[in-house]
Amino acid sequence: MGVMSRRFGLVAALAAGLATVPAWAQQAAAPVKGGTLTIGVESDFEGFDPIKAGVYSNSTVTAASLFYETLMRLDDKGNLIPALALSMNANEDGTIWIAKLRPGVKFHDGTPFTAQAVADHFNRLLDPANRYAGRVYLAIEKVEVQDELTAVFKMRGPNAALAKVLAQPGVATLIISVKALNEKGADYNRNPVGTGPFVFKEWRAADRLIAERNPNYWDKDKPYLDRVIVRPLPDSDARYASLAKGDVQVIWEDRAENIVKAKKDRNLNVQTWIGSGALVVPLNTVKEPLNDKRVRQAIAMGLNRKANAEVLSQGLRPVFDDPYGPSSGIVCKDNGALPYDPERAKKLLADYGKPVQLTMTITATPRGREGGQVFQADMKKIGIDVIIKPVDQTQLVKETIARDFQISGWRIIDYPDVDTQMFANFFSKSPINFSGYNNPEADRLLMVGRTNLDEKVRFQAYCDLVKILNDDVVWLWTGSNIDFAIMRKNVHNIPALRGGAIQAESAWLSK
Amino acid sequence: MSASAAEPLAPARRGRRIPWAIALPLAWVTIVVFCAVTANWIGLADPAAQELILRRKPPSAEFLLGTDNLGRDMLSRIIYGARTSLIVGLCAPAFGFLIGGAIGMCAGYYRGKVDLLLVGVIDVLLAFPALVLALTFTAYLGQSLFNVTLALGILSIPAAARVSRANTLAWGNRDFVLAARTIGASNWRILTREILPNLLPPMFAFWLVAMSVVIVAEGALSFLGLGIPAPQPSWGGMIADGREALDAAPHTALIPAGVMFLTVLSLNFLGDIVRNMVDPRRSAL
Amino acid sequence: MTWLSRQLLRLVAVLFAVTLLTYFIVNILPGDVAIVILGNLATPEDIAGLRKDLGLDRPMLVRYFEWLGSALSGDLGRSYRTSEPVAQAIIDRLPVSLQLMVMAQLTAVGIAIPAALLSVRKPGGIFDRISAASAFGFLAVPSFMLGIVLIYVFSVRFDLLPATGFTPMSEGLWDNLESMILPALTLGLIEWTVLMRVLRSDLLTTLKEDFILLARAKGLPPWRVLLGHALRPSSFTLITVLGLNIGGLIGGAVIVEQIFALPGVGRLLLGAIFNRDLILVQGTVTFIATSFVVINFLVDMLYAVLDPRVRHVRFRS
Repeated sequence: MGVMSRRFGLVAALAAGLATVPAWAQQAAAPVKGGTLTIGVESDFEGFDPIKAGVYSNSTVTAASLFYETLMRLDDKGNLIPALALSMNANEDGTIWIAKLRPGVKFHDGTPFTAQAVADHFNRLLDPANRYAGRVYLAIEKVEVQDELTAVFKMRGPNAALAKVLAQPGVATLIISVKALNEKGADYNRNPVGTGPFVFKEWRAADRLIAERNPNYWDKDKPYLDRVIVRPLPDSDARYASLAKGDVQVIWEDRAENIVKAKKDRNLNVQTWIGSGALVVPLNTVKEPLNDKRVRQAIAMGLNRKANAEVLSQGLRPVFDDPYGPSSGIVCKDNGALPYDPERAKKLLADYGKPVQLTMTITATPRGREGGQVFQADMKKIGIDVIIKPVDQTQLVKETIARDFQISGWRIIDYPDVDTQMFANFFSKSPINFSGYNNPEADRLLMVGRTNLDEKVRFQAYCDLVKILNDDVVWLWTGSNIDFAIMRKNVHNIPALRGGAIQAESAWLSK
Repeated sequence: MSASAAEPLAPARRGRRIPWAIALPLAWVTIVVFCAVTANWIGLADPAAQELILRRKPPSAEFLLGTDNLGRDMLSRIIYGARTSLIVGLCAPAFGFLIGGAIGMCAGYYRGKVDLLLVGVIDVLLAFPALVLALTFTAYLGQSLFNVTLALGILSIPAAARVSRANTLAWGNRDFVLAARTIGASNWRILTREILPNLLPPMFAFWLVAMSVVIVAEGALSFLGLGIPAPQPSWGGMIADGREALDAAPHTALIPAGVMFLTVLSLNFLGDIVRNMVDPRRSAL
Repeated sequence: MTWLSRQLLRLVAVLFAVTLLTYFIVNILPGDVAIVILGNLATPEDIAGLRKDLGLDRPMLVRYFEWLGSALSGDLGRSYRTSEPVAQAIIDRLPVSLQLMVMAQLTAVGIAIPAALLSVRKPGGIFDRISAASAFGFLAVPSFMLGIVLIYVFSVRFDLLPATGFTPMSEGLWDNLESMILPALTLGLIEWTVLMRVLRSDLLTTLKEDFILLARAKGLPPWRVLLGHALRPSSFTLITVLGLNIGGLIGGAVIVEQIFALPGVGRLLLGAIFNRDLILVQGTVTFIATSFVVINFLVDMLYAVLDPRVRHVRFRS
């Protein structure tokens, strides 16, 4: 029975993740104009100059996507739809991409949105002097202006995925006004200017960000809301209470307890998104004793990944045998995943012969502690002693990047195309391949995935790659990236929660 | 000190004492201390052994106090947690009061330059936000029972120093101190014989309070992720962990909260009684 | 005059020591603001470069004195991370912290003084026992638990007060007070216990003094003895603890600020530490320490007011 219900849970969750248009959204057809939507997110915002911020958390993307936009957009099924660009097409070998821009779009300060603005935005990120960390992975050489409404992306090599990669709102893809930035200097980070459906009004640090309807928005019908407020509410239970009270109308959430509670509440709706990427446990393959494949395989077979995630997330978080996830479009028939088999794990350890003691570095958060203790208990059952070392997030990142760890807790973020992250994490010469993995065949497959234009060939390469990674046990995939938004019944039309961001561009409130 | 202090209070109070007001707290503290000391030998389940399938089970015959978020035996965790919480609760304030009390007495007694210097040192410690200190300690030295205790101990130095200094200042001007000085008593003698006995009651009262505060503060550190590292249980940490399932499994937070509540309550009640008994002015009578 | 100048000198010395200590401590913290800014994908070269740009590669003492120089001229720098001026960040959050502190302390004192006075009227009596039991009880409740319980009761169940967030006074006095009631209550309900216990203990001691017996012998009613004669000389420890609370709360109400999502100084500091935003940590700690030292100074003055003998000695020395 346990197995049955688990399977069913998985399928149901998958279906919910892929088809994100819930039944209730279809009933109410005509959007109502007006109203204020207040969104509760987890953390305060880094700021809105991509170079100063470096990375946007999902909370920041929620705020930034109010006043910034991407060139193309992804609909809930993953199809590209026009936004700031009417189209984006590659040349034959994928070395050049051409974006045709929407005419008549203006930044909030009145300056027109042109190819020059697009070029300025991307070239600023690509300039090594500005040290935007993601530039290495953008695969763009530079952006040139062909005419006022045509921007030309010169790629570093053949690239198949640019339009999709640039369509997911994020720190690099949300286009800012570099002109406004140059005028405002250091203050820009807190006073952003974009083209989006809402105009930035006020950011009271750690309290709220207020954005108001952009009357000159290029999409004449939108936005429906008059005003959007985004509030960082760090405590998960207090965030939920604020929603129950009605202080906020939508919250981002990831704790299973609150989701389960919300699903039973007649006043609330839950929206689910299963993205690409995964929660992972990286193993340092360079250091003793994890440089021995038998030890790594024993760990993989001793960790009851699926049952753990099933129980801890109350059946909400599916676990896959690859880090790709359903929204990547990659489906592997054979992924070579090792089964849960503690007996075989013990045999491998006996074969290895020496006692194994490991230190697992985790974040000092409820999430980190939970994962660490579950890992520790499973390992104890096969005879591996695990010491848990809780550190704060900053320290975890520093120690992991410096390869000063044995086992860690990490996440491959939700991205519309898997190339960026896989290449960064597993290519032997990648500066942040912190597991120290070095396999020529894996390198070759990663290059195929990066440069081949045929989607079928690329996806096959990623399937072949995951087979190698699963056999070598470089990282353990402990659960999918899954995000939830809980909203009051009168909130409609929140799109898929890509990257965990709640976007309000097309949202509306019924009375 | 003059023996004419308000004695009518004490006998009246003693006479009206109800036995259970001593018996119950004493019994509870005895049980807690006994369990904490003998945890290894009374046949408890491993407090770290988890069975995820059995998580958040309410109290039953198999698990007398139910199981926690990760399916661990709550009874065992409460008892092992008692050990952790008592160690932190006893040692941290003791450390702080030993050092802080001495500093405060010297500052309040010698005054002048000594006072200026010592109060300066305390002020530095005090002015330095507790959070930064605790964070630095745990981040730099690592999270462990010893480091958490030490951090909380250091944090209680200034409070102890200020209380003892303020009281020494007040007592230092009293006639009996001046009298002792005029008959040529040494500073050491005055400090230990004349002032210290008068400091003990307020210090002891404050120490009892500090003990409870420290037990609770350890929980606050756990809430911020800076407490005793998992899987070692502590009451505060258990409450912090159980809080998120307040609806689904209230016992995971309420049982440790209840145990902590009873212990703090009992310790304070006992402290009250003990303080009346050790009060030097009263026993001198 | 000499006393005052000495006090000021001490104040400066303490602040100097605190800022230097902060600089030392935040600099040895593991972790790196450059990594926080550049993110997980950053290359070591970029991290080193950014550290150089931020001036983090230079010796600590040199940086400290540079910081001190500009701090003395009123410039606390800009946050490494958000480029918000540090002084502005603190000023923005200060009203929240101050209001929270004042309301919490008023709640605490408002409960503590009457409870202590009523308790000592009949030590060991029924009221003494009840107030002791409830004090010990509240002492045993962690603020992170009390806060969420108050939210569930007062906002979710009875729909009386907002669950989270801060409304500035400019948007209406009642709205502003409404948003602060639960956080202040959370802190006050915990803090009154300590105040009550120390005041009660000191009152009991004072009540044994000769002058109280004299007052009693004169036939003054008990409440006049308590309020008129006993309360003032018994407030030493109370004021000490109150001073500590006030100073501590400016930056120390982190948990309450976190739960109720209040934009106070405590959360600013916590975030700055986690992000290793050294210059923001430095500025915030300096600010908190300064307020603390100043409040302490005021508490010292209060001692003098309460006990003229202290003033006498201190002014003479």
